[in-house]
Amino acid sequence: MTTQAERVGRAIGLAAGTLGLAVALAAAGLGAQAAQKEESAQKVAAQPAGEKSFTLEGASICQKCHNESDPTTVPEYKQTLGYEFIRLWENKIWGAYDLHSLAYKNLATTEWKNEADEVIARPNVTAVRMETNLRQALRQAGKDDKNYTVAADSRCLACHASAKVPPARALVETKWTAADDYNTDTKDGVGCEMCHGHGSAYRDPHQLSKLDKKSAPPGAIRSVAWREWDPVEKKSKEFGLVNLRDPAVATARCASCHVGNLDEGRFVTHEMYAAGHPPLPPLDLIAYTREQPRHWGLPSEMPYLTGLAKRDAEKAWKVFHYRAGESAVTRRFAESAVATLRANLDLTAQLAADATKTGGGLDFSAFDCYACHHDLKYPSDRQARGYLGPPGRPLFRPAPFALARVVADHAAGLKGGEALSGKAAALFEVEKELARAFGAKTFGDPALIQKAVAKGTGLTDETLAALQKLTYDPTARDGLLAAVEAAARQGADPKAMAVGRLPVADPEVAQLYAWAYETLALDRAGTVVDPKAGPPKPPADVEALHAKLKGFVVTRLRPGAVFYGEQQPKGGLPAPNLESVDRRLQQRMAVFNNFQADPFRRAFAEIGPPKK
Amino acid sequence: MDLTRNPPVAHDPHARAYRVLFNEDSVRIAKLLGGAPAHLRHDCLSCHAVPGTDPHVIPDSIAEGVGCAACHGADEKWLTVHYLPGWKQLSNRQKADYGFTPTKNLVARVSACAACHVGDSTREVNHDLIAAGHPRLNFEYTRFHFSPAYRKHWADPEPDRVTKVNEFEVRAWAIGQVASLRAAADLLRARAEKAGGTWPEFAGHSCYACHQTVGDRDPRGVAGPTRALGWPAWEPWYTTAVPAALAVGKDMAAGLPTDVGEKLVALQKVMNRPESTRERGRGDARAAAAALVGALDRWLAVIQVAEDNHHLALPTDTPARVAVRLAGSATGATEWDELAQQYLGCAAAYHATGGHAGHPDWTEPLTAIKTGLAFPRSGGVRWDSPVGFDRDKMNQVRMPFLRLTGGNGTPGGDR
Repeated sequence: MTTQAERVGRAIGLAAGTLGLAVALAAAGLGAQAAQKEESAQKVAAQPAGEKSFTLEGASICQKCHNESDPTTVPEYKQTLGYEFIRLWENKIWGAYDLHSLAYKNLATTEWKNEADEVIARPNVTAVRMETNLRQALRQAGKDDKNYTVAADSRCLACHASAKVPPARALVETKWTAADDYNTDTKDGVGCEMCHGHGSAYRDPHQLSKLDKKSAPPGAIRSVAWREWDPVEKKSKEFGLVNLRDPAVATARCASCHVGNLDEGRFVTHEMYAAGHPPLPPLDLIAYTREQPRHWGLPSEMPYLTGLAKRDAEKAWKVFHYRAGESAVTRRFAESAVATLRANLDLTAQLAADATKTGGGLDFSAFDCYACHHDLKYPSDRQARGYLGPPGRPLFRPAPFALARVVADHAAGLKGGEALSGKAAALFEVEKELARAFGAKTFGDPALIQKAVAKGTGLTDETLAALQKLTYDPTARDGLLAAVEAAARQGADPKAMAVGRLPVADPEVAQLYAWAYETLALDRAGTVVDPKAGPPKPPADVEALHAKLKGFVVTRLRPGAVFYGEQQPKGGLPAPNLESVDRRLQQRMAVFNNFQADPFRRAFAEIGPPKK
Repeated sequence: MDLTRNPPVAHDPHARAYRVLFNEDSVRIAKLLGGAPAHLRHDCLSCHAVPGTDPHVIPDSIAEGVGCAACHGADEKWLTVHYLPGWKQLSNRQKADYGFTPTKNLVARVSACAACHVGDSTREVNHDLIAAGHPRLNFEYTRFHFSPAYRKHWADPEPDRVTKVNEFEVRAWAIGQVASLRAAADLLRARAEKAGGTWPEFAGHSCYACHQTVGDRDPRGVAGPTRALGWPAWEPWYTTAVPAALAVGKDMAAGLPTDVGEKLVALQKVMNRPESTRERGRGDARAAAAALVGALDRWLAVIQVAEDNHHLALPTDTPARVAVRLAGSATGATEWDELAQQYLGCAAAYHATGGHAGHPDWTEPLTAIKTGLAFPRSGGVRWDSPVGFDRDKMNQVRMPFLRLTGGNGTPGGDR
C-alpha cells in the first residue's frame, strides 16, 4: 500500500527532478511544497533528457504508485480519476503472477539467500543442466572456467534481468562480463522498464497533474497532460516510454527476447538450446499476455479512454490506438500477428548479415526447429503434404507466415480493405522465395535471404499500415474468427495450396491457430472476470476446443493456468509461479511432440464455423 | 548361358533393385524431388542398376537391376576368359587387370558394396533424397552379409572344427568397418571438393542428433573432445566402432599404418563444429578427409595383400576381446547410432564364437540390447527413428552391455 507520505514525497520529487535534484529532495520529504511546484514542474518537464541518458529506475520506484489494491479509495487518484485511465495495481499482478518477475531467479543453480539469510531462490533444474553443459563446452573449447554460471552470463542476463541502460549488442557482448551492479539490476528479474522503457526521463513527468477541473476528465478535478501527449514524438522519443498501446511496438518489445534481436544482444543460439534452454514457443502477443497475465485494462474497460474516443476520436486513435466501437483485442491480435512476422524477419535479416561477414550460414536456431526435430515415420505427413522447396532443407518457421496470411486475407475483404487485396498471396510468394533462399545452401544463402526478407518486411509494413485504416468491429472480429477456424481445418486441396492455404502439418502453426481461436472467441463472448466467482471458465466453444485438442496441441504455455482475461489483485486464482521451469517445460513439450495433424483438423471441423 | 543377362539369385534383393523404381515409394520420391521419374534418373539408376558409363544412354540390361557386373566389375574383358582353365591360377591383382573385382577378398568385396551402400564420388544418397522418402544408408557389412533376406551365391569359410570359432565373421566385421569408413570419408572429400555442391551435406551427419523431439529431459548434443555443443556429429555410424576394428587389424597383419586414428580425430574436430559450414571449414574438411582416406587406403592395402596371401588367421580370443571392448565403450555412448554399431560388433563376435553354444551368457543381454534399440511400430505407423530415446531408454540399452564385459578378455586398449 502506498502511503500518503510517499505520494506527497513523490509529488515533490517530480518538481525537484526537473531541477536535477529529484532523489535528494524526495528523500528530504518536503511534502508541503508539492502543490506549489506543479506549474514549474510542467515547464521543466518540457526539457526532456537526451535519448542516451535513459536509465533504469527499478520496480521499487514504479511500485510506489502502481501497487495499489484499491486505488478508488486513494484521495489523490480520486482527484485525477487515475484508475479510469490505468489500473494502478500493475505491480501487484506482476509480483504475484507474472513470470517476468522470476526471470533472474530462474537462473539460480545454487540456493540463493538474501542479506537476512532468507532463501530467495532455489536451484532451477533447467538452469543447472544448462550451466553444466555450457561449462563443459567451455572446457572442451579450452576455455575452462570453473566460476562460470548462467546467472553471470551476459547472453542470459540480456533477457533474464533488467538492464540498467537500454541493451545494445556491443554492450552485451563486450561490456557485460558478469552479473554485477554495473550491467543489470537482477532483483526485479525482467522488471517494468524492460517493456515500458527505461524510466529515468519519464518517471517524473508522467506523474504530473494539475488542479484544473475544466480540462480534467468528467468527475475529476485534476488534469494530467501527459496522458494525451504524442506517444511517439513526445513520450517515446523524448522521454523513453515505449508506446505499448501500438500493437506493432508492443510486439517488437516482446519479440526482442521471445523471438530474438541481435541489435539488442538478445538471441537464444542453438548451442544454448542444446545446453537445455527451453524452446521458444511461437510468439502470439495476445496469448502471451493472456497468460502473463494481463495487468492492464483494455481500452473498452477504461472509462477515460472510452470517453476520449467519444469526444475526440482522432486523439483516441493517435494516442491510444483505440476507436470507439472496435474490438481492441481483435485489432491488437491482427496487427500483432503481422508485427510478429516482421520481428521474425528482422532477426533473420540480422543473422543473414552476420553470416555474410563470417562466410558461413545461419545459426541452426534461425531455422524451423520442427523441420529437424521430429521423429521419422512412414507414412510421413511431410511427404504427403509436399515441400515448399527441395525436400530435406530446413526452412523459416512457418507459423508467423501462416497467421499473418490469414489476417491479411481476411482484412482484404473488409470495408476499406482494398489495399490489402493480394497481400496474403504476396506474403506466400515471399515465404516461397525465403524457402528457396534457405534451401539454396545447407545453412541458407545469406544474400538471397536478405533479399527475400527485404520484400517481406516491406510487405508487412504495408500490411500493417493498411490494417490501421480498417475498422475491427464485432462483425469483422467474427469474420476473422471464422477465417482462423477455416484455416485450421484446411485440407490438402491443391487449388487452395497453390495460393498459400496450406493444410496444417506443423505443431507451431496449430498452436497459433488454436490460440487465435481462443483469443477471438473470448473477445466475442465478452468474458468478464469476477474475482468473487473464483477461477473463470471459458466460453463453451473454447472449452470444447481445448477438450478436443487436449494432449496434442499446446493451448497453454503455463499448464494449469486458468487465465482467460485480466488478472486483478483481489482474485482467488491460483498462482502458477510455483511451478518449476522444468515441470512446465516437460508438460508443454510432451504435448508439443505429440502433435497430430489429422485430429487437429478434425477438431476444428467438428467445432465448425462460429455460430451467429 | 549368359550369366550377366540374368538376375543373380531369385532371392537376392539386387535383382529387384530396378523394379522398385516403379513402386509407389519411388514415384512419390521422384515427384517430391522434381524432374524425371525414378527409373529414368541417372542418380537412381547408378545404384539401382548397372547403367553404363554414359549417363545419357540407358542400356537394355538395365532391367536386370544390380547385375553381376555391378559387383564383379565391368565384364568387357573378363567375361570371355574367366571360365578358362588358367583363370583360377591368376592372382587377384592379375584378375583386376581384366576389370574383375576379386570379391573373395574381403577388402575388395566390402569396398564394392560400399560404393553404393555408403556412396562414392559419383553416387550418393543425400538428405534431399532421404527427406523425399529414400531409406537412410546405414551399411554394416556383417548385418547385410548374414541377413536372412539375402541368399548368397557363394561359400564363405566354415567355423573351425575344433574351436568352433569362425573368425571369418569378426574379420569381415573389422574390414567392413574400416572399408565403410573409407567410403564415407571419400564421399565427404568428394562433397567438399564439388564446386557449387551442397555443403555440408546433412546426410553425412548423425540422423538422430536432429531427428529427435525437443524438450527431453537430457539434451544429447553435449560437448566432447571432438564435438561442439549442439552440433550433429559427422557419421557416428561409420566412426564409432572403427577403433575396435583397427585393433582387430593388428591381429590380422603386421605393418599396418598407425595414423588412422589420429587422422579420424582430426577430421572429426573439423566436421563436428559449426565452423565446418564456412568456406574455410570446407577446405579444412576436404584436406582432413583426404588425409584420412589416404591412411585408410594404406591400412586396407596391407590387409588386402594379407587376405590374398591367406595370412589372416585370428587368435581365438579375438571375438571376445572385440565384444568386451565395444561393450565397455557403450557406457560412454551418447546416441542410438553408437549403441547400434556397438551392438552389431558384439553380435558379430557372438556369432563368430558359435552363438548361443559358444557364449550362452551373451544371448540374453544381446537380445535385450536389440529389443532396446528397435524402432517402435504401432497403429500402421512404421517409425524410422528411436522415438523418445532419452536417458532412461539409453540406460536400458547400456546395462546389458555391462553384462558382456564380465566375460572373456579385458575392456579397452590396443594390444
